[in-house]
Amino acid sequence: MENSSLTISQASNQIKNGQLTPNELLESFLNRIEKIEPLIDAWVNLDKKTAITTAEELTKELSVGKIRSSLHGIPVGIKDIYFTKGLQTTMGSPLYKDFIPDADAVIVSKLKEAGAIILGKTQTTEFAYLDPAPTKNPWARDHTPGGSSSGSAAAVSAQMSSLAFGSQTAGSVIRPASFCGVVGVKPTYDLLSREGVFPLAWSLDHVGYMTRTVEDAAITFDVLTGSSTSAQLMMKPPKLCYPDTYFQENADGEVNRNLNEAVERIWRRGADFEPIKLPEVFKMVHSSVRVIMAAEAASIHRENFKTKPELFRPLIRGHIASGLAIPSSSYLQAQRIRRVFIDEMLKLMEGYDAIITPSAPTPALPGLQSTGDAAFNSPWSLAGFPSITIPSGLTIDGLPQGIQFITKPYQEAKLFAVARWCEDKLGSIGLPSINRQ
Amino acid sequence: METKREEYANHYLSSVEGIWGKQLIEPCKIIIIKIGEAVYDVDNYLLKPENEPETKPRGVKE
Repeated sequence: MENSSLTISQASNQIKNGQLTPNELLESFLNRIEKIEPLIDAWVNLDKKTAITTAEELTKELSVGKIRSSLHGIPVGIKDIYFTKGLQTTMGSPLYKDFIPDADAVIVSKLKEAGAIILGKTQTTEFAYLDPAPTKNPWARDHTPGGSSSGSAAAVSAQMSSLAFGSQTAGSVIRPASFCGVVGVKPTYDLLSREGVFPLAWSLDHVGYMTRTVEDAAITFDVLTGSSTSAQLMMKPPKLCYPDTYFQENADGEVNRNLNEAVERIWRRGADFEPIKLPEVFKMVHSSVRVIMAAEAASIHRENFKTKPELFRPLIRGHIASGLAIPSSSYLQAQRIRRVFIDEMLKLMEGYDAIITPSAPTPALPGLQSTGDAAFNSPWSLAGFPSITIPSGLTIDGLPQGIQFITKPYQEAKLFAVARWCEDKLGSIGLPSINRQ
Repeated sequence: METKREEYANHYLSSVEGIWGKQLIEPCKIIIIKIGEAVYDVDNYLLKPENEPETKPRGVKE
């Protein structure tokens, strides 16, 4: 078994027990990347030299009994919209092709302090919007990995990293994680700092990440927030609610079949399910997300857009141009709708551990032109509620599918516990064929 | 409703084209139309009295 196939939990235990050093773990990932990356295109750039130096320092610290955290010696991928000191950060745009930040994003800085090794920058769609990155899906290279955190999801799926950071404004963590068959987490809005992460729409942007297991997701969360969610993963069968019609009506046949099968398996093991009727205001949620995203993106990019519009690709260009034409009153109306939606959902979720939905309306789409639809994720980005996706099965064509759980704000311990319980009952979906190479 | 939404979206598209020029906007039509529809939805939803959200400051008693 290659060290690159270890989960964070396994690698961390081996490092603590002296069975594995950060040097050995890094070497395994670098070998893996050398072999697989030409097929997947998950990375914008790798920082091998610094990674090797850091691994040597961390190995030395280990030899004198110093362990910084559960991420000591764990290599990490970082989406290319996070500022990384001294390391090119492009936002997937030609406008920033030569940009080298002079400071780290807060999350990057925390990861370094915790002993994680920054492997390099992962591919993003342009400015984390919809114009696709070149990354391929490790499960089927002629299919999208999803976006906008395309490289992070693909890197974790192809075992080029056991942890990679992304961001979600509408569905950019949950959707690619689901398409690539890994765990994706979007904690409560602003619980993980956005400082030093290039914004798409500041009131919707969330820092999130991908791992291979729910336990790894909880471990990472604990290191970054000082919480103890990973110690609370065992729990009784959850009480889940599912929204009555919207998700079913907008999911394709394969997705509905998979959700029904997953629900039945979880139900047979003791989980409780109840339907809920979404509030009337839900029908305005997707429009509100569009209006807020476009108006805020326009505010961010207005100067560059005035002088160099040709340097924006078509989808982000249309997004900014239309955002500049949105009346301020419409933007504020959308924010008011958001407030109503949050209040209504908080009431509705009372008495349940979590909401369950499919993670996306479709599995990964063929071709690399579209990154898929964020419609099943954007309501929870608008509300700022924490969400997680876990792999829940495969389509007839062997593509991964995911189920999404949502809790009230700041209930990440419950979110991880519910997801871990269900992950245990659903079992593994296996690995993409690329991982057998 | 659907026709009005489309009408509005097309009107919105033409207003954006007017500002940025057809050549620049042509490849972005799909996105701009969707955002135009969203603006229409948001504005019209709140025009209905039953959907008007609370406007008084939070915490203020009647």
